[in-house]
Amino acid sequence: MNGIARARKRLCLEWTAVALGATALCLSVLSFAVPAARSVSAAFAAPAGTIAPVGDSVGNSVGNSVGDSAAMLLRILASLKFTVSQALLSSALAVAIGLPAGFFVARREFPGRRALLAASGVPLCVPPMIVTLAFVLFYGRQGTLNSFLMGAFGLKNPPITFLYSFAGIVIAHGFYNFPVVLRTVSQVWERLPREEEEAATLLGAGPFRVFRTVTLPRLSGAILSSAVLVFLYCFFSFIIVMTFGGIGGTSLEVELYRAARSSLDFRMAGAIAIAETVPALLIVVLYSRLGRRLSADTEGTRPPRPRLAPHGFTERLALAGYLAFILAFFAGPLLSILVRSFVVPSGAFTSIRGHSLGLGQWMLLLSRSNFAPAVVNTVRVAVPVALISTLAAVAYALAEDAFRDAFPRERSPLALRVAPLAPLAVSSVALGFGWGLLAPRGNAFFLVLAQSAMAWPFAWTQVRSSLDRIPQSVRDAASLASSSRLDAAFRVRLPLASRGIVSAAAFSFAISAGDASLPLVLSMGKFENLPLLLFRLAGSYRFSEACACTVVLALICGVVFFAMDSGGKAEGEHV
Amino acid sequence: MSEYLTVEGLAKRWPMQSVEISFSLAEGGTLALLGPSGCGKSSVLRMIAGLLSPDAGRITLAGEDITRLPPARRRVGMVFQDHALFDHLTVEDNVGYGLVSQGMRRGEARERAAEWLERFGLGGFSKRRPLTLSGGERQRVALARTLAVSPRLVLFDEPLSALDAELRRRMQDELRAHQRSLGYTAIYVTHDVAEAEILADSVLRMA
Amino acid sequence: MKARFLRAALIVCFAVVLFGGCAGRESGDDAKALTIYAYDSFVADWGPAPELAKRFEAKTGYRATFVSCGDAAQVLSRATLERARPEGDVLVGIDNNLIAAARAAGVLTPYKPKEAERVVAEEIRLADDWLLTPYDYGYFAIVFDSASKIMPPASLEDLTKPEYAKKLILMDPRTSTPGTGFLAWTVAIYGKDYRSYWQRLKGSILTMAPGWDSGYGLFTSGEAPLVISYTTSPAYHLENEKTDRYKALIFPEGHIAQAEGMGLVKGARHAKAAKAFIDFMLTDEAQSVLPLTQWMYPVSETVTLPDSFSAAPMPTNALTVDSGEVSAAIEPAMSVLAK
Repeated sequence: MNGIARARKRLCLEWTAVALGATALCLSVLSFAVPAARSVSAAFAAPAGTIAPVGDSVGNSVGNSVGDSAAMLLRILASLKFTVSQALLSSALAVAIGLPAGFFVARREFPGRRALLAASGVPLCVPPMIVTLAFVLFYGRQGTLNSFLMGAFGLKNPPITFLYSFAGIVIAHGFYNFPVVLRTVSQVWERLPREEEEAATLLGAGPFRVFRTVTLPRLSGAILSSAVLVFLYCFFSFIIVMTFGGIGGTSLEVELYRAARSSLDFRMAGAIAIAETVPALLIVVLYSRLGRRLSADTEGTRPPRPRLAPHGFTERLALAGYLAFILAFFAGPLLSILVRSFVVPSGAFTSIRGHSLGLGQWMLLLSRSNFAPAVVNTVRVAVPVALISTLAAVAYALAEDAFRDAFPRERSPLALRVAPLAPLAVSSVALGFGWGLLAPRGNAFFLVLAQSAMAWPFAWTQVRSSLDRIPQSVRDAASLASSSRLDAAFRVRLPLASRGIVSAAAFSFAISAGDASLPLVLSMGKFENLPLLLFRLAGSYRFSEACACTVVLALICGVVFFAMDSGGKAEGEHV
Repeated sequence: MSEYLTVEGLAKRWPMQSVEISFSLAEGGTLALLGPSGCGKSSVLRMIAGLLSPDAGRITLAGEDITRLPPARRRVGMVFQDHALFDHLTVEDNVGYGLVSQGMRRGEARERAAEWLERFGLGGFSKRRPLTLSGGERQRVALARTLAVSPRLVLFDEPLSALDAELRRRMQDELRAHQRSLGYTAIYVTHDVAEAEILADSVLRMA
Repeated sequence: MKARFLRAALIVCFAVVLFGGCAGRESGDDAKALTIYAYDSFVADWGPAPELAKRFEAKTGYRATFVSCGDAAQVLSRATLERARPEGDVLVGIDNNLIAAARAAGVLTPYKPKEAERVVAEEIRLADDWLLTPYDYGYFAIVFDSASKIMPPASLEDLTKPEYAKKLILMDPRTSTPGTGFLAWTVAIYGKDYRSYWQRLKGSILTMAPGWDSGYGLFTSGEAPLVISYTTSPAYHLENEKTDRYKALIFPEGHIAQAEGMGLVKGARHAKAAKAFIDFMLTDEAQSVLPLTQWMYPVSETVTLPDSFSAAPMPTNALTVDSGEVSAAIEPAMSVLAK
């Protein structure tokens, strides 16, 4: 085969890949846009056959006074304030915990470093109901911490009671989400060029000043992007808010859930979906405007700086202290789930520490005829979701680059920048509501699409930040030396962004593996995956088994993340 | 006599500044664009390479109007200040990259790459990774990569500013010697007057 | 070479997986098939559905496919959305709270099963026109952890006492059936004064959990000694965990009853099979499956209850409240708590 034919063949393959990516992207976007539009449109045109609301809807109801409706509206507005403030504080906490973690993971070698990094994917796949159980088992009035303190100091009443309050929500959110910050920040931190910091040190700045004036600005892009993800998660958080939130409080998500699923007031549901989505979209838009400016600073595909063992006594102490802190307050709740899974029912006992432990519930779970199929189903769906989401994310990122190359002077239109994050601004309850209204005959194909729609924004953030780290000069060199811009993308840019691409796949996998709501909403007859099995176990008294199920799920995701982290040792390592 | 490279009225405007330039160069000739940083000389190079689109002007190379051609089709090579090697490829694959783009079999491209590396005193570096090389070695690999595809014009964007003084002096002589022996047409961008005079026959000062 | 192979493999994988996903389509039309929409725990592996499907097919030859829609309200919701072209033939799980909505939605058609008069006692009947046929029922009750060191309360009013501060786990009536059940209970007992009751109760509530699963999970983890659940909860623990630690408290003032019903979908494609199923559900063969899977009382009184049900006390007084009243009470009660 001569040269030209070879080059042409390569180009052909590349265009096929582009076509695949574009298909994946279209499918993902449609799988979001259609149900989202449907759920929002319910506010304006109730679907045929809507049940006349038996309860309250603003303005017309049976047996409900106008006063009550107005009171409810006021409560909803108050709850918006509550929701936003809780989300803001939770994000701040997650960043506060995640930054030091990011530092240690990026720059220091210590035992358990890889485990910590792998564990950072776990919260994505643990259902919120288990998260609340985990925090209660650990921090609750009869939880591990209180039992320990009461036993150690002989107290009568549990000393730690913050859990069922605003503080409890913020702490649960912050601890649950800090791994997102950890992962994003450490990936950037380990590649920051050291020259600037060294220059600042030589100019007489102390370590804190160096951090504040040199390092922090360069990390701000990563910090901001992870903070936005955490914010959106907390904004739509529903189970944690309700369980810990103080009695009678309401959030938009709760009201949406109610309208869409129990009072079946579809017009109200549509209205709330809009009310929820608008602030979230504003956040996304705000982030898009700030984000571009900040991420411009993070170029450089230098290899990760060599990780040193912690030097000096203070640093060692700080690291040990911090690890202990993480172990106690993040791993603690998760480990409580592990322990709970071993609790075997027996006769009378006084506290969970007195429970007998055994493998009984594990054996029961593993021997269930539907356990193995559930595991298989989980993976069988999560792998295509990872594939489609990653393809969509890569396709979109490349399209953005092509746009920027074609119109270098213009900033890309806001719509283009907001589009990949838009799915995050719509709650899963709202999307589920939309899917329910469309009521397709549930089957695995729709499930894969629906989950890809949910997961591809995360995938995109990973791919985008990896691609952005490629220096302009390398992009230019590739443009000059390749047979076309597309060729340059496939042979240089994508391989250099491989870390981000693999990360995107892992995140998408975890998100799919942890989703129980879509299979239900799509009313898939015979389908059962691990989170669904978990949900069913918990709903029928079988909590220890539910915990065991969670552990299995967390292990699967942990393995995926671990494999991914080990796979790309240094960015740019050729496969 | 029509020149090998003519640049007529090549212009670019930004909010805070603008640049406009015209010059011509004979085949095998060398030109240095000299000026303080920020005066737009790198942008001129990038416009010639096709990485930046000009607001006005025309570029003709070897009789062909390349003003509207995409960079891949101009047969113009560029050596960057930070070398811009592809970290995910070995040295030989870096050097052979352009050849593979043109459709050469990878094996053959690697053989040609080895020849070029030999010529630059880097024989035996084939399987090394760019990240393990020193500044001077990277510089030479970048040059080999650029020259391997026989470009009609080679652009150098501050190629030596990342090197230490001693290496820099040596590389200046080397570059000059290479250019003389291989005979390629070159434009160098630099802010150092002495360097400009060593590397190039003519110097164009930019404000 | 290797990269090319990898790319090709990837494309093939992608295609296979994509089309393989489609292969999970539901089976097409079949005279012997029957689709039943039910709530999730009914359809679960340890719920009644698998055994019922087996016995039903053995008896009648019809093949029943159970589809989980989520919770009971979702069953109704899905049926409503499909009204023009119903895919389901039977709806299972519509309880007394949802019956008004079901009627308004117009998705069911009345059908009186063969043995209805004999099997279903008058008090449990959901509708005079047999729009819904009850198949099981239960009572809400406060379940108490006898391993805790407090005195069990004897009435709703008792719950407001200071000694029970932060010791009661309730569920949110907006998102959970037992939550609504407890609210209905307060309305039944206190009538128009339920608001002041909730004001007094406020101090005792540890949390309003979003669902029974999280609430009961908190309870069994020892967070609080009192939780709203069913009278049959102790039976579960006795049967499966061999413990009598958790006790259902009977309040002399009475308990709210919940009856769950099934109905024939209007315009169902397999009406004959659907009717056969509803008839089947009232036979002892079907009813005997229910206690150990549903943890509710079967409507048929001729079914022997398992031994563990001896741990489930029977209320002396069964209460019901009009579902419209209960729905109307949700917002005011929540407002009281929010202040």
